[in-house]
Amino acid sequence: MQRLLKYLTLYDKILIVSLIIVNVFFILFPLYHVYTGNQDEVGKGYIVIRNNGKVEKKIPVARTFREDPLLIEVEGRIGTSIIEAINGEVRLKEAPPEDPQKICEKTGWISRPGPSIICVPNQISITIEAGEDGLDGVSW
Amino acid sequence: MVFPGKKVGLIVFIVVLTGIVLFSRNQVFKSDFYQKTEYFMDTSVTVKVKKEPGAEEAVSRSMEVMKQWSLKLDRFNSESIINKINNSAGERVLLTENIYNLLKMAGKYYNLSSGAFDISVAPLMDLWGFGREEKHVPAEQEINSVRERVGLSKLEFNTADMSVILPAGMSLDLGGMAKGFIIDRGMESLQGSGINSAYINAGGNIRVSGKKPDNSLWQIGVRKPRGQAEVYQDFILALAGGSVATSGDYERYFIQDGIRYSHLIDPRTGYQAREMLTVTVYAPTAVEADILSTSLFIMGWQAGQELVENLTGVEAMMAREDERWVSSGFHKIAVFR
Repeated sequence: MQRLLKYLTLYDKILIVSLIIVNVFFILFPLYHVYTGNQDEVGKGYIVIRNNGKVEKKIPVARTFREDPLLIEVEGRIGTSIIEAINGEVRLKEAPPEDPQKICEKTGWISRPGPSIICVPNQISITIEAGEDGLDGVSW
Repeated sequence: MVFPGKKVGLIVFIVVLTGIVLFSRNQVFKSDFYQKTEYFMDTSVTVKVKKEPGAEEAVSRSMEVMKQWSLKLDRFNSESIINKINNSAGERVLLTENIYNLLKMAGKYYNLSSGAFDISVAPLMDLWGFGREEKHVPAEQEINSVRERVGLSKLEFNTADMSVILPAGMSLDLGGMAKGFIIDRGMESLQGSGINSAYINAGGNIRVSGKKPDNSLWQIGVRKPRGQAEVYQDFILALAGGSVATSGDYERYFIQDGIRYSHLIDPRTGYQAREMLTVTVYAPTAVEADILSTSLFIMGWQAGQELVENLTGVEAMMAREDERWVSSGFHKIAVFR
């Protein structure tokens, strides 16, 4: 083992450690959601909007069950992103004009914990935190 | 190159481990559904079906069917049949069989609800500003004068040539039933495409078909009428078919001088029905659930309860300021946590 370690370059070690971290993340992350998804917390899910890594807004998913979409403007690093939420789903409706590729607009709608919308140029991310996934729909 | 074999082995091990982890992650995150949301009928419409070959095309077809119907039934669309009936008031209008039957159904529920459900309420909706004008409280005199142009019993049906004559000055608004009727057409289209597990939600009116892909029941919550739009924690519907619709005074309303004026106007008085906050109805089809949720809200606490208990296959939950009533058969389909 000692001789093997000696043989590996610094980059080999970085690569191995990063792969292990990524693996552990992907093992624990789904387990976390399987666990939280079984909680009796119907209607208590949240849409979490992060700006530059910090939570800027936390909106109960239940508030999106309404006639007209809920529009949220977030002032990011390069401009204003417009986020739209309705019927338990959220998407990035409009990336700022300064964003050349607008990749996060193309991500489309998310409605459950797991996938996230990430706008790299404007440093905004949108995720849904568990709670609401016990229900298939809400009548209003 | 002291241990080339070990290094290769380690790399292979990491690659295999990564592969296994990514595969299992896909298994955990893999959705059983294909779903699509579009905006029409002034709201969002979501169709969710079991993920299987042809699901995407079936959902697109169903959306298209619903969009076409929503255009046909929108009284503000100059091309729609309802617009044509309204603009030809006083004259005979020939209808297709399904539109004729739809108006006949409106007539049936007009009678069943003692006039509480009335698609000829359009002039009153316009007067209050729930059509296209600004919302305001009209003068009593105006209400009384407009009320003379309301009352579906005045609509003349002719079954022989499937035509109707709407008296001059009157107009129809299918707002209390169109969403439900359109959901039923969407579900029909899905079933025609061989889809057996499906969910359609149009602005809170929901219809499901079959069980979920994992063989469990569809869990449907009901919005609380006040506060931050939470869901009733102790009242969840578990369905393997049928439809749910809710009518509440929080949907479309305005507040003037501290008083809430909702779009749920009693066609018989010209004023808002105020006894209840919300009514949720379960019925076999979405059009029945839609019509009945509006009807019961307007009929009120006592008359509403009597009607529900007299209908087979229909259940309801009603809430007023200080109490909640649940029909006798609801325990079979609702989970009271």
